[in-house]
Amino acid sequence: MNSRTAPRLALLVLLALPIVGAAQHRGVAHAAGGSIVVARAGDIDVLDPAVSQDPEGIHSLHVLYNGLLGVSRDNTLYPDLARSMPTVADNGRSYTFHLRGGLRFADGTPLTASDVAFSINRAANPKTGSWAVSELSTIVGYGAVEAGKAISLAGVHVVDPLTVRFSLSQPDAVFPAKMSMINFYVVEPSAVARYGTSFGKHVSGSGPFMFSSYTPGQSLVIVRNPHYYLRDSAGIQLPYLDRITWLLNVNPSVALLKLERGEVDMLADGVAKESYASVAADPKFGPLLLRVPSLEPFALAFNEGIKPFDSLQVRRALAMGVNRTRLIRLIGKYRVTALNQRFPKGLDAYDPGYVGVQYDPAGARALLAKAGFPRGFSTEFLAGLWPDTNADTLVGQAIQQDLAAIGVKVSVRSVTQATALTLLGKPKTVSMFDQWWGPDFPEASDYIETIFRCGQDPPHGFNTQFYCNPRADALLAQAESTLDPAKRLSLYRQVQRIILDDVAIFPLFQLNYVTIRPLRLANFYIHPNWQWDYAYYRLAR
Amino acid sequence: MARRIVAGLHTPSHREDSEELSAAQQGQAEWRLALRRLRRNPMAMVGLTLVVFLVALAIVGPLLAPHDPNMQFDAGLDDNGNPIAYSPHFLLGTDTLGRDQLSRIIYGARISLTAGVLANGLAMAVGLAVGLVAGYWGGWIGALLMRLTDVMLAFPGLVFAMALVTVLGPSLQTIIVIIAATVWSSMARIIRAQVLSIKRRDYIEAARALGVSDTGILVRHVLPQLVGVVIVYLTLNIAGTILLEAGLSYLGLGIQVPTSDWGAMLSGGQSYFQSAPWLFLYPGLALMITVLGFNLLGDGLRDAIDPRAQRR
Repeated sequence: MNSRTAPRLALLVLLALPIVGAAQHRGVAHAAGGSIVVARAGDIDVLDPAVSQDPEGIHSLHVLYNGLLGVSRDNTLYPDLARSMPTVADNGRSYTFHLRGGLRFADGTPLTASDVAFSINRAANPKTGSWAVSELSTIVGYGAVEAGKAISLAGVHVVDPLTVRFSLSQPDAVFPAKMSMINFYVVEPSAVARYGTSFGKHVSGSGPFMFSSYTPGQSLVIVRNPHYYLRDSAGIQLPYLDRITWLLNVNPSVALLKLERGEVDMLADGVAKESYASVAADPKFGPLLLRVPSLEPFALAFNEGIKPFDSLQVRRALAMGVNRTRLIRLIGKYRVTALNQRFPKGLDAYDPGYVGVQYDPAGARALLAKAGFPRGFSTEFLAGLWPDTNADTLVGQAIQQDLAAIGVKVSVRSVTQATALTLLGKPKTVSMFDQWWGPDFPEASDYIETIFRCGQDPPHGFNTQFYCNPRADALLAQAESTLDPAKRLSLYRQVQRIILDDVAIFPLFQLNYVTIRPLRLANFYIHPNWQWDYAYYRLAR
Repeated sequence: MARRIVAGLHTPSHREDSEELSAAQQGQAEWRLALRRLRRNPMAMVGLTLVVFLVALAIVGPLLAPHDPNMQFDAGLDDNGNPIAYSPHFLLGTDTLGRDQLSRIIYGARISLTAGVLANGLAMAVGLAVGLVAGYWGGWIGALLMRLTDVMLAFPGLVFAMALVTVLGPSLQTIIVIIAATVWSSMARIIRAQVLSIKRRDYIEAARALGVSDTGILVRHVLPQLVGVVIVYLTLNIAGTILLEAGLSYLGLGIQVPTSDWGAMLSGGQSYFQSAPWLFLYPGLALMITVLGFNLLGDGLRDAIDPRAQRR
């Protein structure tokens, strides 16, 4: 190489670099994009994070909005809109969140700390109708807002455009986790003002996707949010997919046929029991079957506001009369895993030493006689809370036969989930029902707080058992203010034992997420909290 | 004389030939002719056989059913908890809860026939009363009743029934009343048309001239003329009524669990159409055979009682 060649080569290399870089960039960009079609069994009730409580709505909102914190795929909290985990002060009475810079809603409007404050105040306002409102009860000024004497929480401070601080009336160790709840995701104030009470039919969030179109009962289409902040390790802006079409109200059996015909890419509601054996034996789909234990417990619940369910002996007798093993066989062993407690396996609060009520029909009959019902009694079981209505009715009929053997005549009433939620919200209406719970955030508190605490009656809580035990409440309060995670866990386990000893519910099983790995998708996994994590799914090359 | 002429299944076309016969004799002759025509109709005989078989099944079903139809057997499910197609214990297989399909179908016949016959009988009673009043007396009350009938006919039957079930709640009794409330109007229309035709005949005028009261005319001269129409229409309509009941149960608005019902069985088995087709095949067949039986018998009865209809 002569002296003149070297600079020429260097110049050539320098000139070529942007071209190579661009080519590489085009190569990476090419990996992103594309669209998928997903089959879902239900329709969406409302798309307002503050009030949503149905699983279909929650699955949609999870990708349309986001909150200060998020739940990662290893089921731990991570800073989402916040740039770091909150700063804790005053022994757990103050939490300060610093937002990322440059955040925008999907329409390009900047997202600031005042939007966070607005969203929290909106969720706390009783007029909004959020079921999760009591999760904000430790914020200073909650009582005044709840009583209608104030419209904003005195404990929510906008320190500067990128900083929001929460002052609490008592230490709340679970507060950061609560800030990852869908119900406290950040909404755009101008959109709330524009759409008013119909806000739930419009979407204006800052999540990885944004709303495109909704045809009631048929489809919901979402497209990439160009302003989403998150980039992957290679610097590519998420989400990878350009568009997702959710086909709604597609029965899982029909969804499977659509998958076989290539009309859908993914089954959001899993594989139905009737199809599982044939799918497992299918050479194409069998190897693609995915089965992951969920953190969704399922229990038989009793309304203690209705006689004779106010009697512990009666509740215990009914629990002793239900054959959990047979029930699981009916539902499908692949579909559910036996669970004898409130906390599902996989959650740190799960108590491996707990035994619980055992199946004992003879003992159940004796206990019923002791409770004053030697000939049993008649009651009703409401099936409908579990979105899988077929399986839900099976549960009802299995319980019907089991309890008939101990003299309790049960009539099964099957309704839609929306009707079930309405009926369960009314005191002294539903005697016995199935209690299905989907996780909101990865803390034991989520499985107890709004469901078993005194006074957490609907619509501002989910205590549809109308259960109340002051001893459990005192321990719950203690757990909430305990910053030491190990001590807190121990307290939650004690609370669980009290609740289960009271037979407020009779745990039956926890669900398994079952689906067929979509052939067109790479980086596909099942999220422990949200089930699907569309922002990270991308088309296989 | 008027009474002699009009009694029984008398039609004007046969009047000249039969004037010399007694009323009873003529009525018996007409029925014998009708029965002879029915017996010579092979399809009607197939229908009759099916209906007799189903009625017998409904009556003696509990003696024939191998199992309690509501019993969930552990042996009725395979290792994966799925229903089984056949075993010596479960000849027609089991359902999703491990219950014997054969026993449920046998017991289901009782529900379907009870609902079909009682609902139809109730509807016919209402339709007959409305049709008689509207057709014989007419006037403003007749017009009012017919407008009410028109309103009812304008309503889609299934939607109307669904709305009523939602309000009243599902049970066999309410289903029977609801189905009757849904189908009486078409019966009233047909009865009224028949009554309008009958009341203009000479023998009715003659009876009136002889001083026979309206009630007497209706009971002695009009109602007997309607027997054939009622029998044919009842038989043909039972099939539709059974289907309506099954449709309501299929939609979850009919007979409630765990009672065996063909419509509910179809509904419970529909998602197993690939993996366990017997779940909807057998109740579907039972429904089909029942509807076929009543339709064939109804057609045969119509042809036998009114052969002119066949020629038309």
